[in-house]
Amino acid sequence: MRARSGQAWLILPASLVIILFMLLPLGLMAYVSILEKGLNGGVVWGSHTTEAYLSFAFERDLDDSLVLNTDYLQIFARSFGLSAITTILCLLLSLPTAFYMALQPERTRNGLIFLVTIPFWTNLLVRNYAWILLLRNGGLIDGLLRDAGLSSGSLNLLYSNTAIVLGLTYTFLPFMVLPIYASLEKLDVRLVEAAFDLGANRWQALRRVVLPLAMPGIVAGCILVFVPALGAYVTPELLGGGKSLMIGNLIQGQFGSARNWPFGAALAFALLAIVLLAMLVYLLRFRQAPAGAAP
Amino acid sequence: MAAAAIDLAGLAKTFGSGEEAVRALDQVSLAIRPNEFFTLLGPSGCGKTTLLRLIGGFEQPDAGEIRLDGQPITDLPPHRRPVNTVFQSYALFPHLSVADNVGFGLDMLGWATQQKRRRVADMLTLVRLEGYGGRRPSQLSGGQAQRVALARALAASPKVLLLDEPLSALDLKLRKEMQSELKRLQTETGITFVFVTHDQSEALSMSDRIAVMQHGRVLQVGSPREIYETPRHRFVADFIGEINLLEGELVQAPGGAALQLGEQIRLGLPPGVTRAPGRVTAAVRPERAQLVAASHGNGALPARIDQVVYAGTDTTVLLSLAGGQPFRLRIQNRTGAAELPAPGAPVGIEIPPGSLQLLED
Amino acid sequence: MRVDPANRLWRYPGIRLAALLFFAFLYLPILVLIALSFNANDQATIWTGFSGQWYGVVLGNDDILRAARNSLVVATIATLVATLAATLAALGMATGRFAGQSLIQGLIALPLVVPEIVTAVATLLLFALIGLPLGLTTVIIAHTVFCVPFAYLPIRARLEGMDRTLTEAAGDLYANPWQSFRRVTLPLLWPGVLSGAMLAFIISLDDFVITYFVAGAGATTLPVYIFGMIRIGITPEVNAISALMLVVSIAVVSLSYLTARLRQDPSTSPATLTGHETRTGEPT
Repeated sequence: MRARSGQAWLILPASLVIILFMLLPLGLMAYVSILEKGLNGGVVWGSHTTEAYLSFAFERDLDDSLVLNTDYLQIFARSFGLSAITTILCLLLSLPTAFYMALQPERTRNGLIFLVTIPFWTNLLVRNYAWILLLRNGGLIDGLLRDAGLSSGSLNLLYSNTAIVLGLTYTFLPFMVLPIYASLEKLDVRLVEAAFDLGANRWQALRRVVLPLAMPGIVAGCILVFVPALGAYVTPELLGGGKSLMIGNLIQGQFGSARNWPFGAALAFALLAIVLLAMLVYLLRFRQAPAGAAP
Repeated sequence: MAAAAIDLAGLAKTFGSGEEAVRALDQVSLAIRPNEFFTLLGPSGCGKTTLLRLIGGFEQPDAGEIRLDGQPITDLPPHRRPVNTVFQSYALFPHLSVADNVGFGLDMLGWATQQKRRRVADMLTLVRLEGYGGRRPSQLSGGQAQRVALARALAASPKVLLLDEPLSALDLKLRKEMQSELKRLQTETGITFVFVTHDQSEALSMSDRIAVMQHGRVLQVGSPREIYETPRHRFVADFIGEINLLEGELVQAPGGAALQLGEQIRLGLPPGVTRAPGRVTAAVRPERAQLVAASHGNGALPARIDQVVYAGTDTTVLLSLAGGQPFRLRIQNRTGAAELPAPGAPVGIEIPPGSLQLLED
Repeated sequence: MRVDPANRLWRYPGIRLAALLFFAFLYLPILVLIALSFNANDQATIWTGFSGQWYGVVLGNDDILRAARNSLVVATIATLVATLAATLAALGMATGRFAGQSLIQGLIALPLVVPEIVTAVATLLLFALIGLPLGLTTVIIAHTVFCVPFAYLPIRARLEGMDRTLTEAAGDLYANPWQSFRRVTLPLLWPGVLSGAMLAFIISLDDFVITYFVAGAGATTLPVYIFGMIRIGITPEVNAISALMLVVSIAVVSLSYLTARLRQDPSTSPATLTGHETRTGEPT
């Protein structure tokens, strides 16, 4: 077909929408993060400072000297910790499931993929709300355990780090299963059969052949879970009850009650930087298709 | 001779640029006659499909001209050319019924509904698919889809029909059937067919004339008989059928030109050889050579039988010549034919003068 | 991987149970929520009997209806604009190679990559800078942006799966480029466009974080309203409205999934059912 690059203008509307309302705002956000905050919210245009980034770890003393303040660092640490645990939980749940899906006949797998994706398309609030119903004192889990005599009194499951991890795991599970499944699906069965032929039992074949070849999918899944978990807002807000803060809540707070836009923008920019870094690392490491992927 | 239906003059086409440039066509000139079944034959990558796409208007040549009935059409887009194509994948529109597929071109040409309907019915009859008009392409077998593609391409009575390896997706039995079907359609409609294939037996059995292509060039044009019996190039000889190549010295002997092999052997060449004496390659088809006794004398090549392969209608004898190079010989299996010597036995190969063909490289 | 599940080699004990638990984990909360939405009691989590009364209460709540209407307005406009832009972009990307193509591909995928909260902050800052008052307009703009990639992906997939020789065949059969687009490309692309539009619609309808940042006082959408309700307390009313949203999402996504697969499934070939001698009528 003749390349009719004259029709390339068709990409203009979509590109403009994203450049004007996504790329430009992100640039603006980066800029705002180095501005001085206004007295009653907002920013002082033209007045540049690194104050916002300094306040990640320091605060101003009365005499304007910098003093170490670990309040925010604790929130960062909690965010990274909870996201890491979430990622590991998702991985443990997803690996056997993805492998099970890959072993099914065509029709079954398509059905299972659909079942995995459905929760992704449902409302985030509703999904988290369902966990409130399950976890709250007097809720389903609490009640069942009490009825079974396994616990006395209230478990206080809700509004805890446990609740946040459960909610995050539930929210991001599809992001882990699908990439792993995708890389397993591409796997050439003959490679595994070759492993069997060379004397590996099925668990050795799984560990020595299947898992290494599924690595790009596993890493992609981990990034796809860890990164958005780090920026989660709804889950810690609803299931953490406001007392277990994560970065997302901290950012939101800067545009709500705290009215510190530069700090909020700096936090958001740091989050964005982590995303871009993760993607870059992934691309550099896994750009080439691994040997053994079927054509 | 009538004016050419299609005249191709100096066509060149290069894909890509710089290091990755691929010369798909290199100064191709051809004249395809009216009502002719013309075949472009060659291995994949020889440029035959590119040539077809240039005629169809799907690609633009870098240089050269295409004329249809004497009119230049080089710069016309596909929809302005009275030329239709049967695509290798058939390219039937999956969202339209068979009848709407066949009528698509007529629609675009603005035919009236009544006329169009009649024509579509006629075309379906022509390809023996009466009553299939309401079907969807997905409900057709491979052979039926092939016929619909033919009907669709023939509906507007194009001046030329282009066929891009249309039989390659069919199994052997269906392919044989469609070969005679295509031949019948071509005769009945009187439309010029330009047929692309890499299958030499298909080309030999269907074509009025064949152009053999390699590396973007046309090596030889001729009737199937000419192409098979008097190949001019080593590649043509090799690509079509089986052949034995003999390298030797062209000499002028008292009885006319001859091929000198080594000291002893001298084989007569067909009359009319005008080449200057020197190293040449000559070719002989396996069925043209004859097996004779080892003691036959000067005119025969001494050889030794390596293997005898029985294949029903004929038997192939694999031999080694004195210099060690292989030679292949084919004998019809007739009733009461003499028993062949056992492998290892010394024999002679006789090559009648008219069977030896001098090759250009 | 294509294996015969009956083959003994591929039997991994325990894996089936693990998958079963996985899907239970995925669907149990949803099922519990839907069940509790039919609870007769006014205690949100203690089952006393079946009743649809809370749906009545929800549908009689003017604030909820107003929020729902806002949501529908936003989702409809954002979907229309995003789908149009995405369709054009997919067509533009398919018309041959040009410089910067992968850059454009990355640009279109950008809203999928950037965390929602970051997008929310950035968009809010933009509106603040240009002085656009927060309201339905700002919500619609923000939604349009993140709807584009969701609409784009199914359309692009459909275009990529399309046989290119079909448009060549149309040209060969005397269709000019516009006729070829209208009569061949568009009808074949249509399921992809519909599927993309439905995905964009549901993503817009469900969005909370970005909306929460850029919606002014008068532009409360359904998710923003529900968020407010949940923060006040767990009530059977929240159960009912949540269950409703859940069902709408699942219905639209299923529909989108089925639409995208339209006419791509050659397994049902009636040719084998009706036999070759069947005479179908001539076209009318």
